[in-house]
Amino acid sequence: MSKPTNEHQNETKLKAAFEQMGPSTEARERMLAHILTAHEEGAQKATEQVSVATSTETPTKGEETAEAKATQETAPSETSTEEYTDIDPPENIWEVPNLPRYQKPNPILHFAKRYVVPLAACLLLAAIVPIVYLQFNAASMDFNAAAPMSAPNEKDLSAASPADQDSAEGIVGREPQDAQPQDGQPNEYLPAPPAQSENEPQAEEGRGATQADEGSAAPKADEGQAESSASPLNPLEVASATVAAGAALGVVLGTITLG
Amino acid sequence: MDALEKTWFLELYERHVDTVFRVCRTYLHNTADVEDATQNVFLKLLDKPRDFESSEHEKAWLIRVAINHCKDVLKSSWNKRSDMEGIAEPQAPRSDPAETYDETLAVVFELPENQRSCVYLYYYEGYSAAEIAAIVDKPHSTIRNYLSDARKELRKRLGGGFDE
Repeated sequence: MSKPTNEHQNETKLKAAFEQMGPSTEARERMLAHILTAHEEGAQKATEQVSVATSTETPTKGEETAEAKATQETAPSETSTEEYTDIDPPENIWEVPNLPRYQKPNPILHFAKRYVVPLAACLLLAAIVPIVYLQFNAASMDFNAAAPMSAPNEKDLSAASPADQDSAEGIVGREPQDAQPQDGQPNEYLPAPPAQSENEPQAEEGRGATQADEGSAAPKADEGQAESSASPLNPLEVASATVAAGAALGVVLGTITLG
Repeated sequence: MDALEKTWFLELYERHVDTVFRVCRTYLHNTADVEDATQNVFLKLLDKPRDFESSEHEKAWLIRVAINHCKDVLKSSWNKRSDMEGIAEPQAPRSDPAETYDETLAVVFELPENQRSCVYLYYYEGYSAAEIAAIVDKPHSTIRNYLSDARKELRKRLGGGFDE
């Protein structure tokens, strides 16, 4: 008999516990008041929405609502200027200026203007600049080759310092008095005998041996030096450098144009 | 709201407010949340009045709506908590500190939500397992399992036994 009693006790306990969970009288009233208020507010909002929806609808012929009439009565008429007499309204405020209509640009033309033309300009620049530079370089090389080499070299030698002169003399040849063989001994600064033997007959015909040395041996050596100074770099390197410079210039100009 | 509608609603409210409030309480622990949930359940009925077959049908509908609403609230509050996890303060205790329950109710509140509502509906409202299954829209066997597990736990904690 104890077990059923125990079970009953537990059920009673549970029922009592759940009984505690119920709302108090105040809570009931409060909740009821909130429910009614919320319902009324909701109903009011719904009616407002319905009225707005009906007012936005276009009225049919002869079906003007009382609200519309009331708004017409309360709204100021367009011609009444009682309150705004001191303000001069502009003439023909409703006149729309005759502006050109906006036309949508052609997408192909827009793309061409935007991208193709600047890109073509960049490529053209990148191609023209190195070509012009190479032409100018070739022309300067031709000019150097056509110009007399002796006079500028002499000037260069005279303008140079004594140390430079010595070094230059070592390469090109010394002055005639030094180059002149004395007492039949060969000069140590003179170039190799085969060059001298080639120039000797012509020199003996014209001026003296010293003049022949001056006119023939030195210019030949200068010629070689002039060539080396006219084309100091490999033509391939020059071409690549100019192409790179042209491309860089083109990129810069293109960036500026596109920007 | 006209007078007739108001009378109908007031009678209905008086009949079922306790049940709805208690069902909400089995899910939600904050008194304010419970009151809000109860109000929302009745508002749903008031906004869209229905024709119920009987008072029992009415009650079952309100219980079902209350359970669903509480589950929604729990879901949304869980989401809020998980979103604010990085900056949240230490969580407040689940039950309202102002309210003190006896030991039995404390044990009931420690049961899982589903078991808790089934225990309430079974032992307090007097519904059978089949009726509870119909109300909460779950299989009969599931409800029986819930009740069996809840009884085991309550026996363990409270001692004694329960009517099966």
